[in-house]
Amino acid sequence: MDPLIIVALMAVGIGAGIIGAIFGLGGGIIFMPFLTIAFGLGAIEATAISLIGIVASSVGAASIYVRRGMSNVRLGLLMEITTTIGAVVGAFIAAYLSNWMLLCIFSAVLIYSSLHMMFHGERISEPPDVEDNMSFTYYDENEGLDKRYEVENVRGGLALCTVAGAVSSMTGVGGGAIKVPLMNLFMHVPIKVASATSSYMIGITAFSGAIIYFLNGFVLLDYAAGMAIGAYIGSLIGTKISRNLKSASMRKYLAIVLIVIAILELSKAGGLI
Amino acid sequence: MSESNLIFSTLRITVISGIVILAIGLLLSEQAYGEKIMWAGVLVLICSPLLGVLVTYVVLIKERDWFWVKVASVLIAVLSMGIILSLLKV
Repeated sequence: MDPLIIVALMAVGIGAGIIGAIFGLGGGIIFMPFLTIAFGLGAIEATAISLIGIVASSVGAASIYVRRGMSNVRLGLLMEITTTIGAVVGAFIAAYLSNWMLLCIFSAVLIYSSLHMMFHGERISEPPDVEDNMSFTYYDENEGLDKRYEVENVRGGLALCTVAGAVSSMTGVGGGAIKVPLMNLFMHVPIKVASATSSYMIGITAFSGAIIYFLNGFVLLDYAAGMAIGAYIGSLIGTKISRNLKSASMRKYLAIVLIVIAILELSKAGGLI
Repeated sequence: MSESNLIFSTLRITVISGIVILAIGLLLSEQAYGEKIMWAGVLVLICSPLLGVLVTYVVLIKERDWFWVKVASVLIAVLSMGIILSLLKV
């Protein structure tokens, strides 16, 4: 295979890995257009490689966030239950729904989340005096403090995760783009914990998709290798950058990223790309 | 080893092993066995999140954190069902 293609794949992987690791997005939103448009791959091959890139970037980031005490692995496991159920249901009903409509709904949700993040401050709830299963602490490296928080609206959050799982398995994007705002805006999880937890969860979601493609022999190994190596390097850079970001600026940047994703998806829905 | 260190080390070691194996496979891709090495690398890499869940599960059991052990058990059951259903569908 042409070494230039491998280098290009690594470069895309690094870029996607950085953004994915900072915001807990995985990076599929960047991998897919490059793989299909720039590298001319079919949807199945592109999805398979993208999922492997997502595993590399999200696990690369999650491992570091777990050590820093920023990923809430318990909450991640809980929310992953309904996400997985949603993803399985989504895969079965995808054939009956039109994709452009889903993309429009998905974009509308992103735009709403983005505007909310831009114009409203972060709401974090203090845990009750007698701590329960949903009281947690994380260490904010930027401020050098231990911070306590209480996860709110757990049932509603779990229900919405089913929808998020279904939408992302039907459209192929958006696991993290929906889950991070959902955790931050609706469940009052601090943004840094939300994105670090999302990285941990996305790895699990991507695993259950990737293993199917892998077992069916749909993975172009050299492409996947180049992309995964790049994505892993990118995730290491991303976790370094996120360490120095303040929560407020992180929400602002995420709001911009969400708008860009929404525009990309709307142009896909309109048949422009 | 503390809870987060164990999960961290598991994720870290498997993801790095996967990436290193992939890099070796890529360098040897001209050889006949290069493909096989990359195949192994992809397998190790994509199984790293699963291993992370399993280690988290063991950690929770050791800590006797039963509420979260229940949560993790349900997740493992749901993941297995999801994979079986998808394999049947393809």
